[in-house]
Amino acid sequence: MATFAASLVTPERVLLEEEVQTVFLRTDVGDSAYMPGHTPLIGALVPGLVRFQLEDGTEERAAVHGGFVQVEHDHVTVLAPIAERAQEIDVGRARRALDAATQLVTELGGTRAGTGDAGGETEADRALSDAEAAQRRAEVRLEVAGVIDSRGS
Amino acid sequence: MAGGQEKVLRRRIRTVQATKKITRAFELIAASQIVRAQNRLTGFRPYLKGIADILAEAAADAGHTAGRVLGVPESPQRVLVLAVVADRGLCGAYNANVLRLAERTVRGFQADGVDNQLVSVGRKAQSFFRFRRLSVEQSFSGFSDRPTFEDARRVSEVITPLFLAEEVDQVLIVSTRFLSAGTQVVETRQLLPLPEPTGERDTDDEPTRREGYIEFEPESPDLLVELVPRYVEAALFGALLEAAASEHTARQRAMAAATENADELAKTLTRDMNRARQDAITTEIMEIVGGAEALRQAADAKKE
Repeated sequence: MATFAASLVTPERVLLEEEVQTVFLRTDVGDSAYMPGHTPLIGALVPGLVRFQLEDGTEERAAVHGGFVQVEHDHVTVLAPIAERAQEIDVGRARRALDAATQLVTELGGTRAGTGDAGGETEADRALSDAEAAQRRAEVRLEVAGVIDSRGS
Repeated sequence: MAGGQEKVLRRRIRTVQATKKITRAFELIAASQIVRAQNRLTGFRPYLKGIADILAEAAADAGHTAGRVLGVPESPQRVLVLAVVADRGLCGAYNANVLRLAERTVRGFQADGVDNQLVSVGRKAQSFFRFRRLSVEQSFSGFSDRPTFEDARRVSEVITPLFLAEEVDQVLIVSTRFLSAGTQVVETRQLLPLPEPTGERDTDDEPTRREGYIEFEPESPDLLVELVPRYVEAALFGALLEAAASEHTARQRAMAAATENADELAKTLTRDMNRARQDAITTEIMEIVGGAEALRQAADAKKE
């Protein structure tokens, strides 16, 4: 089976650099799979799961929180501001983060609904969107770690 | 005087030696931080390069629709200056160099009647600009010696929207670049609009097409909208990392000089102290001899 070079790059370090058969991920347009010889492509990633199918058929799973993918004939580069490999995800911590964020979102959402939308970015809006982002990140982590299916998301 | 001066000197030597211990410790800490900062810089380079590559492709594809996001504005009317310094001192002229250049830049804009605002990173900037009566729009601090990507993101989230909302035409960053362990340069660079991707000179009418076809998901103009904030935070993170590495280098150098100076001072003071002690002893002997002589003369006079 043909392989090509794939890497997952974050600002702190190169998380993964392997010869792979296929890379599965999701861009703005939808789920995609890239194999050697794919048309050059640049895409924006949706937060979620990235799977690298290695030469021996095993899979490396990683969570990405936004970023971009660049595909060339002979390599794929995934650039993500925040990313972690599945085995590095702390499930307990992600669970707690999800619970905390969900609670915060409900609280903030509640107070905001009470005051009504004044338009424009207020401090409360910002806090809410931050909390929602934290909630999404925790969900993605749990999904990648393979524990969220039971809870649904 | 019996040893009064000697006592004073002895106390000063002890002070100098205590100070030397502190500066030596700072020097060693800074030296270990340099290595760490350099490693982080190396670890970050692939990401920055990847983002820059994508940006170059997307910009080339989008051509002139990229508009004001790319290139150098001819006569910016509203400029934002971002000064990056350290939270702490004890690092030689590191802070002063950056702050002076930032001040000169801002004063230049004021003289030309260009509307400008100042944003600062590093605690040392706040007091400097307050003293110079330059108002700082927003200041960040607490991460200059070990910036995280999250920090860069926070700064970028303040700056980028101002540019995208067309409230400023140009964003300049004044910071120290870490060229190598031996060379650091204070520099003003343009952060926004984005630097023209290299090799793309004439964007006027026909964007030079790169050989080969590239798909964009989403279309390149839309992609560019997402790419700009990501590129800015990456470039900013790079600048913060370089500034941190430079800060540690400057601190190590300053503390090494201070340690050496303390050594020198201790040596001089020890010499002074020895001389003072010798003087005191000599004086005492003279007094004893003088006294004995006087007694003997008195006894001789009685005998006669």
